[in-house]
Amino acid sequence: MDPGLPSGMSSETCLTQPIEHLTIAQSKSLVSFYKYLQTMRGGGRAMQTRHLATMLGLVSCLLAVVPLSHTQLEAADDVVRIAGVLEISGNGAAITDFFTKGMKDAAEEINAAGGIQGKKVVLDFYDTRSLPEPSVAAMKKAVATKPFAVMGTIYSGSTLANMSVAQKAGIPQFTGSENWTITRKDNPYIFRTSHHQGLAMEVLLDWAIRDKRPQQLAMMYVNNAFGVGARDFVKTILEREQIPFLDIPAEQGQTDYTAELTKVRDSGADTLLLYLLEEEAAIALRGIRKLGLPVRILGDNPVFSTPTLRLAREEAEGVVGVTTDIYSADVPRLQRLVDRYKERFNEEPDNEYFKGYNGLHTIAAVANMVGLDQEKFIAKLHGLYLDDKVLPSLTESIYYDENGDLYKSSWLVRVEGGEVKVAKRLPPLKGPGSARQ
Amino acid sequence: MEALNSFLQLLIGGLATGALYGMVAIGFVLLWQTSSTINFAQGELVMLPAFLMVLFYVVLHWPFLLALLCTMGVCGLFGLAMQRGLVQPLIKEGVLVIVLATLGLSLLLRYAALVFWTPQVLFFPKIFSHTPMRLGGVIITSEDFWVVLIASAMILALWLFIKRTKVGKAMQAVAQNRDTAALLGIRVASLIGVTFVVNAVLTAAAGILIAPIYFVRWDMGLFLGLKAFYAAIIGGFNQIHGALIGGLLVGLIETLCAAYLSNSYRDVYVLAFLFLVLMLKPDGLVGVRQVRY
Repeated sequence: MDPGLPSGMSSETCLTQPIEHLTIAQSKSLVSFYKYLQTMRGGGRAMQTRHLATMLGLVSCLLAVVPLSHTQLEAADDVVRIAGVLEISGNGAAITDFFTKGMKDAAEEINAAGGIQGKKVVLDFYDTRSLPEPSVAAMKKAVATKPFAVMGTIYSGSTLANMSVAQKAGIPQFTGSENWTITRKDNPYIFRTSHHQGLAMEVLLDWAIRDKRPQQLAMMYVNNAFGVGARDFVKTILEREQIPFLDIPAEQGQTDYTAELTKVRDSGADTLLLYLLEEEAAIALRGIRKLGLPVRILGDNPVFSTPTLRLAREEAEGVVGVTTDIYSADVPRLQRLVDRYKERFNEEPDNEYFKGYNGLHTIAAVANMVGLDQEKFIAKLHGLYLDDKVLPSLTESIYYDENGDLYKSSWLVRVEGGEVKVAKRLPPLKGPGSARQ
Repeated sequence: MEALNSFLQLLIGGLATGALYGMVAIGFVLLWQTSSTINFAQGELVMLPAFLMVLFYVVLHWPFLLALLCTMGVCGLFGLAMQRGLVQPLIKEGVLVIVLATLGLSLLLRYAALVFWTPQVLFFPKIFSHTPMRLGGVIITSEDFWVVLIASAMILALWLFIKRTKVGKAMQAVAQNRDTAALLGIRVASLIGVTFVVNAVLTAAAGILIAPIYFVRWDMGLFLGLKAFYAAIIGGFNQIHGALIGGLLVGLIETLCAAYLSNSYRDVYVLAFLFLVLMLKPDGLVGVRQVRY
């Protein structure tokens, strides 16, 4: 008899279910399997080599999942647990690396200053594998440990899938996602760590139209919750402005953009808005330069991110966009963080780093104001203006509205000489000091 | 005229992409033809040399040729270690066991790169010029040209090796029937080892060509391995030139269908074509029916 893998456990189960999620039946099967191995130890060479193959498969599955969902449990009363439900593996691993570094740096500073309500901050990370379904499982696992707050996810599709879990558990969730609908779901527990995409697109297109009104605007966007949300916003704005619009979806993880860029060329569009993820944006920029498209290129956060510029520094020349927390912004507190980061990692921090950093400092600041009652926490945060003069831990002042949307300054930027140069500071659209006051 | 130029541009893009898939697909075909094994860590054999080149060429600043030779050497040794440590003990158990084992190895390599190196996407310097050349209304770079040329040269060299050399013919004999080949005095285990070394070195060459185009990331082998597998099946698992034909077709179908139908179902078109090939010609477009004993 070939035992193969334990009953109810396929190699797919290994890939999608952390070891801690095995059901009782699967655990019993695993124990039986190991007992079987023990009895067959004296078996023939053929049996032993078969066991070797099965063991190798199991060990690989364990290696894949165990280090990525490891939880350190300390005594519940002595610490404040903050769960990071993030894209630690999968397509989002690169940007999550920055986010977690920001969280860890913030946690170190918070603990050095006495923690939250005198208690040490402990971070627990849970891997969503950059997919919505595993993100729900990761969130369930995270809320089971009763953290004070959850940070993540970054991918909008994952946040839309898992936010109800944190909501039902009554745990505040600070997401890095930018899809604008996330804070329109009647969820008082959701808060952002950056602008939502609608704000960014409004500011960017307002500038682009005033600078040089496009004859036709083409938008290449990633075909997921992040990209589709932005597309809807852009379409609304351009319809209002009566500017012809060509929307071109691209798939996440796509490696060739010849088809999409040929469409842009054939359309005669004079302005191209790139709304892709980091690596895809770099590949698309190369394709644009290769085909010599005569377009003005606009971009959002991912286009100006550290990974994109690392990969396509020359090709990004001249791209204009709006971003928050850019490393070249002339903000003293931000520059100190940038210098520290560069000293350690030999490159500039990405926008995601500041999301993680500011997000955790915001949690600490508000929890230190109202205590560790989550209902009081969320009530305080809605409509709260956090002044960076009062809270030096933040890179700049922020305002949270009744939906959980964050408002802060943004920066009109342009890539020049391989660097992101700030052209103009744009005031926040809401809250004290806003452009609309 | 514009429409023709667009079509030709798409054709060039598709062929360049397809040539890369074909280079990776060679490994599947080679291993099947010579040792009746399917290696699902083939994509990771592209990732490994890419990371090694980053280490030697970008981080340690070794001369390109030295970095290239060391990378290929290390990959060749890895191929041999893979054969001796993983495939050889399991070869008598059948293809399925080796598939499972190589799937496990693929996971191990991928997550080892993630955990022990970096989750970041790494830049790899250009090997060929990206300066575009205009031929009428169509734009081509020397990178596109060289990729297609090198892929074709690799296929031709491998085909000549398999069909015209003594070692190549011995490899085919081993694939036909290992026991009979052993009885005829062929050192089966050594020959399969040579096959794995050749596969690893060829795939390393593919990885070094791919790295400047797709960048270097820990999971770059995942999609490449999958597309290469489709290419090998479509072309024909038992014909070396089937790998290139399959790869070119996969690249063309992806690009042309994305442009003229819908971009959202890029992979669906390829899978639909794969399904069609399996239904109508299960041995692949240029594959021949083989009987193995």
